[in-house]
Amino acid sequence: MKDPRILLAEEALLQDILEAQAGTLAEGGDDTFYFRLFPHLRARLAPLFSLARHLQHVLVPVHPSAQFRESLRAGLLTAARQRIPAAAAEGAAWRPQWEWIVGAAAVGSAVSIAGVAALLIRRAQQRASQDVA
Amino acid sequence: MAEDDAALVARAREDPEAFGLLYERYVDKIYAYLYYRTGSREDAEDLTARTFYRALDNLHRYQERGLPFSAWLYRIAHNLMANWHRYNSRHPQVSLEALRLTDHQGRDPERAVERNEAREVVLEAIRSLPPDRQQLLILKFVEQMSNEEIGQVMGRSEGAVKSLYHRTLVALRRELQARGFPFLDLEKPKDESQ
Repeated sequence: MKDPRILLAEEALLQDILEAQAGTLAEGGDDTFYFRLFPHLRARLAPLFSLARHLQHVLVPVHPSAQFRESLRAGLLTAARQRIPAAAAEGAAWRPQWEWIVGAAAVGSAVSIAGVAALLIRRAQQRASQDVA
Repeated sequence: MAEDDAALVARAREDPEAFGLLYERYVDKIYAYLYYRTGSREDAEDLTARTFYRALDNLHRYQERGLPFSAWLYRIAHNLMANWHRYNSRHPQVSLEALRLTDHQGRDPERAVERNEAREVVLEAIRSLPPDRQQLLILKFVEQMSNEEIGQVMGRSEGAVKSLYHRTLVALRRELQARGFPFLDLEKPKDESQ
């Protein structure tokens, strides 16, 4: 029985070769080259290579009819003209208005600082009056 | 030079014509993906239209963040496909194309090959695979995407895509053998040693 580590490495190699074969097929190259490189994997590779070649012939690009394409395009553009201003307005409605947020934060900070200063002055005055008494 | 997707998407939020350009760029790809998933031109057209209308409705919410616009569009199409499958499993319908397929395919796979309909047999076998495997084969062979791009659409790593591709080929081969499809035995590679 094969060492599990060897089996794992073989699986990884198999995946890499299948990936490389897909690339070779896409470029119109000759994939039998991999059998010469990896003769010990040939029995496992051959049926999968054959299937991939078949898939390349079966799964070819298909196109919608020109009539469908045009009619959908016209419908989408009409919808876009109606929806895009509404969507932009919706987006703008909930988008944070940074100038207002910064302004509010600045006013809040100023009020807090003034409050703390007023408190300190009042305490100082209280202490001074107690000292006089 | 053609404007890239990100720039077009940004413009399309305010300019309907820019959305039209995105549509032109992807309509054939999305249609092909849906055609192979459904096996019907009518359903593929219906789902293609829904995909683009949904994209239009949600364009202001889309943010790139590592997910290209094309991958986002395929995800919309994939989700609509899932709903379509759920609906069809509750309301079974047979399209005219499916009827033609069954009729031509018949019960004898060898006759199907004689009638040069191996393609339909393979397509039927592909459609019997789990959705993620169908998606992978279509993106790889029809759309000619790299594993990185497929990973972005499917939300998987490149390594996971590579591994899934291997398992998919093995499963599909088994499925075709179970259907008595002969090409796997007939098409043996040439012996280089000779």
